[in-house]
Amino acid sequence: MRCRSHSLLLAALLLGGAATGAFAAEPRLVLWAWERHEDLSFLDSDDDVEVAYLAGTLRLAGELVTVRPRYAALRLPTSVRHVPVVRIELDRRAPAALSPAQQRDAVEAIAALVDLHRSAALQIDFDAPTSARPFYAALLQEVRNRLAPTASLSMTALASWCFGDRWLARLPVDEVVPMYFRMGRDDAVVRSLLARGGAQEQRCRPSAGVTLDEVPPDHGATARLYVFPRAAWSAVEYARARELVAEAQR
Amino acid sequence: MNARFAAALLFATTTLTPAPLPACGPYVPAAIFWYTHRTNEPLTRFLDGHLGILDPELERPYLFVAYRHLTGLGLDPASREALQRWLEPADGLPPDDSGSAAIRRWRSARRAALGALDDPGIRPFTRVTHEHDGTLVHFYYRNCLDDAFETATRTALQRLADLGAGSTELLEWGRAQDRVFANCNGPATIPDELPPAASSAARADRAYQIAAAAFYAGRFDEAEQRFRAIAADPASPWRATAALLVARTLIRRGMLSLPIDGDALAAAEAELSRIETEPSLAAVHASAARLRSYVGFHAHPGRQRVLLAGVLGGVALPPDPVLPLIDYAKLAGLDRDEDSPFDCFLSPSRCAARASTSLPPPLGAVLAAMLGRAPAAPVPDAMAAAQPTLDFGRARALARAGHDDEARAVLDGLLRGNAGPLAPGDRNRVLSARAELATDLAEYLRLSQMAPVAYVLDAGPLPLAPEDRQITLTDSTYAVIAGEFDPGLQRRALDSGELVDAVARRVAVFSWMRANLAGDEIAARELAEPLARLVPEMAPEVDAWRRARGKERRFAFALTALRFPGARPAPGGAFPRTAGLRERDWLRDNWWCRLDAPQVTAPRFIDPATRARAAAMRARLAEVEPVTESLSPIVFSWATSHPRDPRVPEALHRLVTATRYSACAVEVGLVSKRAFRWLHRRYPESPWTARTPYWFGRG
Repeated sequence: MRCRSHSLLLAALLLGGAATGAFAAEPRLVLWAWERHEDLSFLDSDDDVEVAYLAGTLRLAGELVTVRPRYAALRLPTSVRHVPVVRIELDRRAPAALSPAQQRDAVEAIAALVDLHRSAALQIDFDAPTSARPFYAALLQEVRNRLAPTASLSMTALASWCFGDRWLARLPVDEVVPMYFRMGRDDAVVRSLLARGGAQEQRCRPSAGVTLDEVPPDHGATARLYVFPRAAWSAVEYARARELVAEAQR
Repeated sequence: MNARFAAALLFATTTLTPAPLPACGPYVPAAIFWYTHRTNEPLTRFLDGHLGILDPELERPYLFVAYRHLTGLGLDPASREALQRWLEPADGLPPDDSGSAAIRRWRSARRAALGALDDPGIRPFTRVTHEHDGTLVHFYYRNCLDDAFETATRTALQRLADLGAGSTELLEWGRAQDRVFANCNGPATIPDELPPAASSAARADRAYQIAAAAFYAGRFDEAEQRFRAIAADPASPWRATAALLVARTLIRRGMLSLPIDGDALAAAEAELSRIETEPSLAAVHASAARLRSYVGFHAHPGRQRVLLAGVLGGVALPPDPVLPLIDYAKLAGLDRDEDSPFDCFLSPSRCAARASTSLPPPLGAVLAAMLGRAPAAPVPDAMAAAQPTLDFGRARALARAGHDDEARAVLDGLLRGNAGPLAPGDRNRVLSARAELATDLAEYLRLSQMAPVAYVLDAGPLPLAPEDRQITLTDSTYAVIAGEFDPGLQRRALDSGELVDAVARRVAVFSWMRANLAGDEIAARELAEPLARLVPEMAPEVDAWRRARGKERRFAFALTALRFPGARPAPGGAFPRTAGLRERDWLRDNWWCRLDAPQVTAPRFIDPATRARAAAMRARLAEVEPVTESLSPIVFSWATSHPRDPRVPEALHRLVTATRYSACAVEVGLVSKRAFRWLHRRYPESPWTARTPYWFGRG
């Protein structure tokens, strides 16, 4: 591991990943379980693993916020820590107003999906364009306010946000998970930059998100590795994710 | 320009993060020249039986329509209209399955009936978490369906008309209804019983509201008992609805059990069958039939698939075949021992082995043609609807067997309209197949130029308006010209007069750039003339390059490349780069990265010697570094040997700029800082120095 900064340790502690000491040995594995039937009951309760499952998707269209909750069943051992993820999407055919009222409705919609007062953790996934950043920042702040003080708030980040883009610095979140996959024409440059010293933005360094159907970039010394499967999670996919964790350690 | 397409491009070019790195994600529009998952015909024509060229990847609704026409069953007006509404909604939006529209209608009726009564928010879904034997099962479901809000809307407006605005009875009904809907996503909230003194109508309403609240609260035993009591009350206006709700309660209980409670579903089926035979419950017969189909889907999917195939492939369709079609599509992938012709045609790749053998004509022949296994001879007495697919499949089979002349004749016949007029997408597909069989360069270029029919941004495809359908080449044809043509053939293409201006300009630019980067000066000289002619804004630079010799020529090339961020050696996609040649693209679509050659098939007319020269060129280009790594040694070398050349400060300035605006520069910090310092130390008075206040580094 190249780096064990205080911020990294703090993030790991906040997210419950550092106490066992596994953090020092290898990144903690977090399985992203998206909107499809996912049967993770093969996980062993002793596995050092978490599940971040899509709880629902908010779609912002005009002034409206529509909610599509997770209809597909998720199965997992009761002992495995699971964190809800709420995805936010913009409807391109009816540009979102991104107004304060819409922001309030969006927070209410999140609250309808996730019991904010009782949740120990929540992740928000929003590929916010520049024009939506003030909206997103305000939304995160409001969600933060409604979560219990001990709860952790995580957000995904476009890889580009982690290189020379300072807007993440002021956001009220405990964790930023850069998505190092499906990077399109940024792919080569992001891989190159990661290989030459990791994410420029410090907040992007403790965690990384990768997918099993792409060769992951060298994301450096991450404390938490989020992984998307190629298809629904299975013992085979899980074994591959475990290999990624082991490779990350090396 | 079509507003949506313009908006998409505008979004892509302005809204995304104008940060040092472009936003991640596939936000560059990609051109679609023909559809494979949906018909290329206008939907109305397709529904009328003009099937165009059928593709095995077509989604099942389209294959269903094709099946109906190919078997002579056709579509009746009601099912045709239902399919049209579903496949091409008037507002262009997918169906709203969030319940928002129904809730909005309820809230509007509620305001009309109840006035300023506080309006509680409604979330129609609820969360389920089962824990059993160490396993947790977690999901959400739509607890309050649209029907609930539509029924409440109708009732509110009816009671408003009956009782008048502001009546106490209406307000009480409204408050109770709010409590009913509070159960959609929240703790159990049951309205109170009404006293015996209340009107019989109000008591009937309230009895139904209490039962409904119990149902949404998940108190299924209580709900069933209450609904049964209402269904048994001949005086209740809710009698028929309550009978249906008894079945729904059983279904809900069955579906929410872990595992699914088959006994509850069987009981529900029995209830629904009873309802459908009870004339006094005619008002809910259609709903009962839909629910029975739903139960069948979950309780015995194999049987339901056979049933649905029979319904959808039968002579008389239900008035709205959409729901059965959706269910069938979901069940079509189930393992089974036997496929009917209907099953086979709606799962083409699954039934590949049976195509053209055991399926009745013309289904078998069409299925074989879709899969490219068409017989080489024409199919006698083929119906007109099948002809484009049969001809196209036959041409593919002929080409694969090496009968190029015959394949060309069939494709030319299709293009001439022998099988009827082709939709733009189908025409593009035939042109593309025909271009692969082109006998010479001119024919290849003529056939390869076409207009896309749609585009994909991060979703789609979205159709392009006719005015946005500019002639271009497919991505793969650009890649062929860039990678499979040698410089001589590129020059001949540029001189052929076959290329439209926009295409010729792009070919001229990337051909010249590639020749330079590959170090092929002779080829670059050959390509300089058409470049200067076709791209006049580059002519002064190209002339300067032609006049120069040796190292100076290399420097002139580097300066030209730095001046024109849009002059790239990679051919790019079908849609042109949005910024001009001299302009920097905000999303760093500038200069070049590694010049990987995509896998494409060279057209047959290219001779082996040309292929070999093209391959050699590709191999040299594969070694080329990204822009700043490629050009900085040239610029620094020239600046060292010719410090008084007035072009040097500009070149250094542009090099610094390239380190910021190129997508793939690697050693940007080193190059940027070195060029910056050189400029500021040796040319402090140059206007180019004043325009270079920063250098740029990463990491």
